[in-house]
Amino acid sequence: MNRREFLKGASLGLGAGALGAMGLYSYTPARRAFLPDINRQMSDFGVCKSVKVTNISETSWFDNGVFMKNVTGAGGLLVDQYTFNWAPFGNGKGIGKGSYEEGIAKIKPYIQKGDLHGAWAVAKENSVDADNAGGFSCLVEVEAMDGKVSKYLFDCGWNYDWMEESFKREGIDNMLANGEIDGFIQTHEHMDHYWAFPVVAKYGPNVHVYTPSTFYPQGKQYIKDSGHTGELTEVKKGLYSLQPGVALYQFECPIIFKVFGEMSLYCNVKDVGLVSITGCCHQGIILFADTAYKELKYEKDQFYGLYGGLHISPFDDWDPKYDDLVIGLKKWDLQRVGCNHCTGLITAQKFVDAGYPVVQGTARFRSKTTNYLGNGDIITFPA
Amino acid sequence: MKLEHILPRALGDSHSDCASIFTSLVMGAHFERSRARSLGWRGVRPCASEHPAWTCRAAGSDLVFGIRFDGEESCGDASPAASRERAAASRHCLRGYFSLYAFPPADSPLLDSFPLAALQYALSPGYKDAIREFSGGEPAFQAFRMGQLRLDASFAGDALALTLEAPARHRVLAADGITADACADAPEKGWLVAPGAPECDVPAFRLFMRLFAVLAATAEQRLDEKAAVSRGLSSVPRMCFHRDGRMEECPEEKEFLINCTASFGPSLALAGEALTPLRSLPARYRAQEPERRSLPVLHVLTGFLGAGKTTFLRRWLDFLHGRERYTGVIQNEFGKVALDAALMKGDTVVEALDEGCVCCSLADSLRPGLERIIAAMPAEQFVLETTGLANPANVMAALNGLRDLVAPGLVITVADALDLRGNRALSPDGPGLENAGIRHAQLRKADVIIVNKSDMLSSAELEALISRLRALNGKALVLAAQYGNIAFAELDAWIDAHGETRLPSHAPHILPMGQKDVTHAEEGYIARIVTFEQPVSQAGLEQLLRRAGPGLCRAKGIIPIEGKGICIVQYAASRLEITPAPGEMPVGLTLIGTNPAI
Repeated sequence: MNRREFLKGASLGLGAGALGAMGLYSYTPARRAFLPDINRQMSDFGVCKSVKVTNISETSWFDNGVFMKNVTGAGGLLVDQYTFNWAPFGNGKGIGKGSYEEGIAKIKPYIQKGDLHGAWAVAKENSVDADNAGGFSCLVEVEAMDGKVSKYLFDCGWNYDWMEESFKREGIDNMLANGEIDGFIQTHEHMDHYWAFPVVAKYGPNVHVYTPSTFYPQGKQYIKDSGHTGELTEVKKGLYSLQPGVALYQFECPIIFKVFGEMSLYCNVKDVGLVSITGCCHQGIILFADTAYKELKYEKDQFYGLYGGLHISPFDDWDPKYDDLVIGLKKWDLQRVGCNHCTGLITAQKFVDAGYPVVQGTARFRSKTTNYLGNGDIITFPA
Repeated sequence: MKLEHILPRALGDSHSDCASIFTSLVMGAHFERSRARSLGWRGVRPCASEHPAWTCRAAGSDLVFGIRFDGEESCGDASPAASRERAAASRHCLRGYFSLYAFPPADSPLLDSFPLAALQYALSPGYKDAIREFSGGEPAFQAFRMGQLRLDASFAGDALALTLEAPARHRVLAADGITADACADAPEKGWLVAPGAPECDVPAFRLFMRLFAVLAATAEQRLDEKAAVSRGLSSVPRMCFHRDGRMEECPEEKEFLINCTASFGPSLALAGEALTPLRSLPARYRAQEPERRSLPVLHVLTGFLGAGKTTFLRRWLDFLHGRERYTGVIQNEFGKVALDAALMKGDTVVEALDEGCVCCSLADSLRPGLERIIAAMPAEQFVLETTGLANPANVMAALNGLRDLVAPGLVITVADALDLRGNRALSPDGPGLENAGIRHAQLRKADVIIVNKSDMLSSAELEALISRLRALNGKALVLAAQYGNIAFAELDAWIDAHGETRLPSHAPHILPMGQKDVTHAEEGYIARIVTFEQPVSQAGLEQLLRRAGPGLCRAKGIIPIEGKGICIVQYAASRLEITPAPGEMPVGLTLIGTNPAI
């Protein structure tokens, strides 16, 4: 008798009980089998009352065409970012021929004087397309259950001039100088998120810095070379609690331009749900959301809000039908989304078209679309 | 061999370091899609949990593989003296275990040799979706678990080994047999499995060889070192089970486990493992010609005036660039004003060819244009967006002379569902529109037809249109779209499906004696530009379009509109769209058609 035909019948309900008589067994051929375990871990990291994100800058670079010319011209996505000859680490030798050491040597005297405009001007002469650089940075304000507000600066952008101007626009320079910033979170080592670090160190040399533990030597050296004198915490893979209801999560993953590891911020808002703040989400939004679901305990089991750049996945999906961010996010039933940066202008439009709860921005300060929560815009969780 | 090329930190940070190494290995291979594909990867989907898991596909196999990290343990001697003095067998290393699952397609004959529980599950309607949510450990998937992967990494960071272990044939005997008797309604009775016969008989090792070869080749590339490959054999008792579910060893039979190891740096084999060296990696994927080529691919985008080529292209670019697959664009517009290039500004590198049409007068300027954009951005692929009047057959002829610069890619035709709603335009000799010739040529030559504005048709109309398009061009992939949106990965899948054959557009193009390819010049198309010093009212604009007469096919421009400011104006297939575009520079309104009144 054909087993396929028989089972087809069985699965159609024709042979109820047939399988019970089959003597189902649970033997698999591996000699060493760990016990199956698909339980959600559900770490409890406490709750907070509300979260407010101010977008300082999401425009990492201003012209995608120029950026893509730089990348392909230097040899592609595997090239070490410090060798591109991007500002501020230019050595005047042209695209793909730079180095951290030669670049920093040219600008360090200016950084030490606090003359970042001068440093960038020197870098500009020695780098490729310095004016195309912008940066990604935002301010996260967390209100604890007792009403106390903590401020975290989340990434610091790329272009010294642009970021200093943007910091001033949002009053970040004073917050740093007055010691109001409880922590500076460097999500990953990419130039557009990190290379304006001297602007942070200029106004807040003592700020507590958090980076993934997997920064490369140049990245670690840059913190020192920028004049930072405060505490430095290198966050290892997994969950790292900052305060009740607020935790970093370090994803160990290789990222283009020879960077390793990215942190995201999870906030558990009382009676509302989980709010996630990402830099680029290079680990992929699918893995990112899945991690939260399986590892964290959060209010109402609701993935409530999302802010930042959204990379769908570092991989092609093996089923082309599903290779789409809009489809990929559907199952999480998000309530409030502020997207920008590397999300894609049209992907953002598709979110809006698909009826996602996208909080619109104002398209000011060189942000390109109101579908992005743009430069100078604010999003709060809950609304 | 330096492990830090894969994981740039010391081991011992977590209880899942081997999972981090695995993630890093696989992710790093995927920065550049072409690189991943030439290694044999065909898609990966990660799944987070304390036990990270992945599903993936590999070239040369129709299986979906499930990989689940089970845990890791420390092996060998940790004392520094020991690792210096003793044999390699006691190097201090971390050994990670991963379960391997094989999910064949539901209609695969292979499934008939799987355990009945697996077959039954695969025949249930939710099978395909359930695999997507695989995270390992699910009871329903245990019957698909057929092998194991081990990952050994030395704490010193100087050695790595990957080992696949699976039975040559995984058989479990049904001591009492399995009858179909319990199925009272079934007219046929008899043994599903005769007493003492195997309930399953899976060539397990062979199933995973493709996957393993892809993994090992990936490690070779990341470590820039050829793997030392060895094979070993061991045996475990064959198991049989009884009607009551009791399992026991079969005294007279053994199950042979084959293992294959790809190792880098000093051997991490444990004492007592007898290994036979192999000269090379079995079942290694050899990239087909197009994947190995160093030339960039050039896709050709066609579609009649106003069908939505630029809209489609911008969305496709958003998809590609979101995945760091940088793509340059060569645009050719009929008429003096490069509106499309203005709309694309900032999206990517755009090379605008001069006024004229690439399919006839401009064939000669295509080469320098291509050379310029390749020099400016040496990307892996480019898209040539032709004018709405270009006949792709003529473009393809021109491309044949550019084989030294680019490898030919897809011909994609964006069709305007509104325009083609009536039957007439599709029939070259029917009572169709006077310019059916070009639409016809564009559809006939396509590898992919995007039926845009599909939301403007009823589902019955759309279905009828799609079946007419299939009749016209049976080889093309036909996808319905709204605002140019499709599941863009379908384009890659379509290219894959033709990986070993020719894309339909590259088939030799032979015309019957005495015929030649249609060109728009013969059909009398002209373009005119109207500029507006003062804002124009919407009514005034509509009047202007009406005055242009029935021969007007297309109008587009960036012009000031009363009460709305600067707007992008698009007119095609009798539909006028006005979209405010503050900040854009006005470029005038281009009218294209066959009516001299234009």
